Amino acid sequence: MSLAADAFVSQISAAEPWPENATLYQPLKEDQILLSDCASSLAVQAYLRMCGLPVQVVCRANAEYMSPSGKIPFIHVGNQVVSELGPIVQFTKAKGHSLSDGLDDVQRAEMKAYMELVNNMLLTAELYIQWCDDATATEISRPRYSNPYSWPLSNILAYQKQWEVRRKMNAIGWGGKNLEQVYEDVSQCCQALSQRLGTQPYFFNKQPTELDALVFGHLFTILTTRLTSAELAERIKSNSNLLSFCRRIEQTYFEDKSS
Amino acid sequence: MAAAMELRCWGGDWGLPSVHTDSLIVLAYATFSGAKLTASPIDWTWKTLTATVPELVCGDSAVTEPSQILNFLRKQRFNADYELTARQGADTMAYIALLEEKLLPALLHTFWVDAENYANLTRPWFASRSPFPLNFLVPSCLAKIALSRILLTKGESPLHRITEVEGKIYSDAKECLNLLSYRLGTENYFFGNSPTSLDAFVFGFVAPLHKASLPSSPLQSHLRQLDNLTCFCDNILAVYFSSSHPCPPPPVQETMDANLQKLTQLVNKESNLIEKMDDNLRSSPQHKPHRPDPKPSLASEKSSTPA
Amino acid sequence: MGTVHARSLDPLPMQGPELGVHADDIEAPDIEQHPNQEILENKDVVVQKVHIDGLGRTKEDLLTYEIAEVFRAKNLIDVMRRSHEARQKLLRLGIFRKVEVVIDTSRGEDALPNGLDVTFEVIELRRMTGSYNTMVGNNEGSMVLGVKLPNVLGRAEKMTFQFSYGTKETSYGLSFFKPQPGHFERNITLNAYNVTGQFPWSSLRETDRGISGEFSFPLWKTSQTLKWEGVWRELGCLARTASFAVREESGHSLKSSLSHAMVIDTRNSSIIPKKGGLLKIHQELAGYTGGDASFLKEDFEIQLNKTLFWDSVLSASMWGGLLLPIGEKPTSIADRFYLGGPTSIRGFSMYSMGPQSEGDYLGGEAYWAGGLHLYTPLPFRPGKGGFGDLFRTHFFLNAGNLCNLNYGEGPRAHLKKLAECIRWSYGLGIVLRLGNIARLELNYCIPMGVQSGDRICDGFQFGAGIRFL
Repeated sequence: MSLAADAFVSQISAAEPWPENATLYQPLKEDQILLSDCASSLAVQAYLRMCGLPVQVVCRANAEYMSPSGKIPFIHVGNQVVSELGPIVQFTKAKGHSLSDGLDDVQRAEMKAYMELVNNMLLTAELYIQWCDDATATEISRPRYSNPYSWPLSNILAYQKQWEVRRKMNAIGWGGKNLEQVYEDVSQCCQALSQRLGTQPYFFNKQPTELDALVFGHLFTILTTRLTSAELAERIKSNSNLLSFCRRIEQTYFEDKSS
Repeated sequence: MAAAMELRCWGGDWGLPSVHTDSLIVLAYATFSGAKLTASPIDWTWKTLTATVPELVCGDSAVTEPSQILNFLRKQRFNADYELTARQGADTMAYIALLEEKLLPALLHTFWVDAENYANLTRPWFASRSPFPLNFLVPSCLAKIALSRILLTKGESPLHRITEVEGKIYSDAKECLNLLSYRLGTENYFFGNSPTSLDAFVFGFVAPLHKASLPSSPLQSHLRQLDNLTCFCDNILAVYFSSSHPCPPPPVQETMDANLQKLTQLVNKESNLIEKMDDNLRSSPQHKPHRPDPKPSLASEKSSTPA
Repeated sequence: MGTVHARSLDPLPMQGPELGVHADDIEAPDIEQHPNQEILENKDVVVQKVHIDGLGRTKEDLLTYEIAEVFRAKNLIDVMRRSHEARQKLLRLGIFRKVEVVIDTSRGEDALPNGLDVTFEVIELRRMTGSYNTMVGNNEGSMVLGVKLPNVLGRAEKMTFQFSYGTKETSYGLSFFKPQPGHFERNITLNAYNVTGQFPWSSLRETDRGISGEFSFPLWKTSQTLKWEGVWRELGCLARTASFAVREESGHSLKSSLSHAMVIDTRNSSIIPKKGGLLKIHQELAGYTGGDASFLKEDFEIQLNKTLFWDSVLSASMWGGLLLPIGEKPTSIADRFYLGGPTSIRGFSMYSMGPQSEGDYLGGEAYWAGGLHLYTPLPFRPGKGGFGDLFRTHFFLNAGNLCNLNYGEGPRAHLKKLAECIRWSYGLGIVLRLGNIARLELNYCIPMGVQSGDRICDGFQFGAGIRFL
């Protein structure tokens, strides 16, 4: 849809309040979902909880193909379908819920820059490790990705996805990197985040923003997902303030149901 | 350090030392940090098709990619970032990521995919700088690479058509330019009074857009409205790339440099240690926290004034 | 006696090597009363030799079955009739462009005084023929290239490759056909295809990549076909405004199914038949040979025609089908039935009937449809004997229903559900016959019994197709 049509639709949707039956779709949690998708989905869930917007999480085997942009997760609100964190933040803003209203222009610029840092470094590293590292791809990614399908479709889809991701890595210049360099990049990214966070509870002091949700989504998923090697989690653990940051957000926003 | 360094890059035009973004980044950084590079343009050679540009050749080793070249130069003690705090270093990484994700696709589109610009400006320029018969191949090869990069990173499957993403990448790019403008404010450079690697990156991305005579570009007209960014580019060109004025001496580099770096690192490590101790103290059961608020960061206080 | 050429007995010229001679174009041969006929009839002849001249790559053993009957002729008229039948059989193989029969007396040393030699002079088709067509459809134009290799290995095998390049989608298919020598009706076909289709009534885009193998054979008066098909189906939304129900169906699935079809066709033509009937029963079982989809699908088609006074024809037809999912997975939108449009229930928009969600039609798991037609020649019969014969006027009455059944309830509840909310329409129009394959219709329709959610096409409606209710 053109930008004008987008704006028109978002104006119409802005008039409606957030419904009770908003749903978030992601691939099957137990057998299918991969690290990068799980991280993105958790980031969106954290963001919506921080805004205080209720959402149900539904797992579907074909969630990736249902999504209008082909990326996980996407939310179905009323009769609108929105995918990925950036557009979802804009969508909730149009409905009057926003976490970054209190920031001034320079802070907002910093927030967006750091979000792009996470996307550029962490998410790309996750994709690289999942699909370009042969050991992980063979043992974890391909079997999980093709889990709901029967042979020979499972093989075709898994290899097709691997080929697509490798093409993308080559286009952005990550094709020539080896695993060590990728881990180094992740370390540098985590150090940068750690420096920025310092001893504050959230990145912009008192209030969480979408940057906190995004960082939490990725770090928490990496820390709690078992891969062929624990190297990635180790690199994050060397920054203790990030660990306590994750724990804090988990306790504040995700454990209210268990009590 | 004494080995001569040669940079293979695309040639210059429109008042810029190079029209190619990545080459421009490396040239700008080299000038900021005082590294003596001989720029050997690959124009009119067969390297236009075969070489990865930019490429830094120093003795036996060859390095490609702007970020790796900058790392290499830093290791050779040509460091324009030594005055930055760790926090500012983190900001640099973040802003560079912002440039690559939000601004680069629109720049690639403006120069290589937009039909009017490509036919009237980009293709003639690159064709005129390539030897026969490569002048037929080189521009279309580069255009194909640019298009596939845009589609692979921004294209939304399954409708991989360029028209679907055009609106989005341009609005992202305009927002990115606005954010850079807010961050720059009224300063000359992004951090303090001397340019750093972030300035090199921003210059490399923004200057071609500012200086090229594009027949049709809404992005360029948007940039022209952001005065501080255009002044930023003009300022760097005047101070560092003008043939009439000699370059200002780079900030004092000598052996003091290494010591300063070591000190800064030590200070940072200390502050991390202190943080850790602090955390441990707070979480230990005997010492209940008196104040619920997080204390101001010791690290930021200390590292702002390198001893 | 000199050479007797058996005349070509069909009134219309041959349309091209692929189209065989069709029964409805042939009228009973009108044999001239030759003054010597009675003598010829009673005179015994023996066919001594049957030659086929002009064979290139065709293997001879294939043809011996077709011409075997000629040897059994007892008198000259019989020889002529059997030669004509043999000629038709040779043409039906689809490997010859032209077949001519020459009957001559025997010559040579062992020639009997009443011996005859029959020679078939054939011209084989070229090794490769190409065709190029352009098609214009719903908001789409496409270019279709076909390459056909008839008689590839010498025994009437045929290989076809078709490539369709459109403004929106590209499709291609490869097919290999092999008949059993001597029994042309028993044949095997292997297909491989990659077809993309757009269905705007459901806002759905479907890409099918598959292979299939089928085996046909005649059994008593029926023609049976057994088929296995493996298809990789990819479904997607056609526009961002597709309803969520269609969005939920997006994705990949694999269907591996066995199917069986039985056809009894006694009509004299498949387009505007004058007499005869058609019964077609088809069932498909998916899921037991692999794949994700798992269902049992049944459908049938009945048509009866009867000529009334003054060249008008009354035709009654009935379609029906049922889709039964096996297991807990619901049925896929690509397997369900659709109804409505100029080829089924006229007066309604194409496939725009039945269960729908936000304007996208989802298809149904059970349906029935019936039609009653009266075909008459054009009033005042303009252009009689030539062009005007291709047109007919028709008056029609169509009715039908498409719904989803709740399989937990009994058959009585199912019948009740199919019987409520019947859509029906009536009207009149003009039918144009295109060759032997397709027909065009322009009708004035009045739809009735319209339910909420259906889309109608009130007034004039144009339709083109192969299979009409």
